[in-house]
Amino acid sequence: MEFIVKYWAYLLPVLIIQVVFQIIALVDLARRPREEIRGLSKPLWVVIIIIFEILGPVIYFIFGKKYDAGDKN
Amino acid sequence: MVTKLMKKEWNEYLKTGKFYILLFVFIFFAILSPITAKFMPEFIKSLSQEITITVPPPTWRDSFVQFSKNLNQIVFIVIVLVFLGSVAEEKNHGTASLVAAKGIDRRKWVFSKFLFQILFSLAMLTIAFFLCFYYAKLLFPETQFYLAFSSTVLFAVYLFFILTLTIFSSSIGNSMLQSAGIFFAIFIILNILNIIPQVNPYNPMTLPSIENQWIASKVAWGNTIKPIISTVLLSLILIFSGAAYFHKQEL
Repeated sequence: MEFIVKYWAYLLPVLIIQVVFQIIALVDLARRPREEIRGLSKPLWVVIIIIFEILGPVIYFIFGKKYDAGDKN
Repeated sequence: MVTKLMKKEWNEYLKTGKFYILLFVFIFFAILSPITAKFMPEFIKSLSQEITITVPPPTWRDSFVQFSKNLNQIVFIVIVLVFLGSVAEEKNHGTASLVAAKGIDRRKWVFSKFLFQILFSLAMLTIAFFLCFYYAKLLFPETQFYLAFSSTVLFAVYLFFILTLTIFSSSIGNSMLQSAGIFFAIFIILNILNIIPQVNPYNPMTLPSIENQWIASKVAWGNTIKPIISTVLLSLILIFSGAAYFHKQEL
């Protein structure tokens, strides 16, 4: 904890990047109809996006969305 | 035609979120690498107050060794996952047959995909390198541009090979799973071949280890020119044979 307090200025950009990416993924998930989501339910995807830090949104964007020729989102 | 197809690809990347994946992952690890190199020894010391741990003081080289490690592990996996389905998934969804029905040359279609992927990845790598360099310079003022830049150029050559291998696997496979199987089979075979001393200097898989040698000491072009030339040649074979296979494939 003491370490984080001491070097917060360096760690802040990393945290901001991660949070912005998570927000983009969460907004995409919220706007997407259920039938365009692959595998898990929406609440479970929310948990994955949040707990896996930077990799959460990566997992969601690669495996969580259904893509087809008519994908307009 | 190729420009038009690349523009379509760009819109697709924005629409599917693949743009965000690569942008954020590259930037995240570019900033994190020098920070990890600088503060990890201190962090380890702060964790064990009862036991004395001797950790050598970090240098700017650790930032780029960390950067190279992140690029060759996490960023590598993300790039492969993002690009692996580029042709295979379109075959699977029937979009590829629609493209063929419109009279678009299939080889041009594959090349435009590859060209877009390489330009996009190189743009991300350039942004990531300069961000990493800026942070490294901030934390270690003695950071040397030439050595750091040279090692990143080597990664760019390796990236070129990995992207041709993904587009080759994607052109051969009919689904993302099949493409992943082809990709990793070739990747594992090349890694096994790396133990043969006669093959080693010509194997693209030696490039990541040379990256670290360059950061640690100095640029040795003599040892590097062989793997660079063979990697470029192998990449060209992969991209042309992948496109030729896809051209003749029944959709």
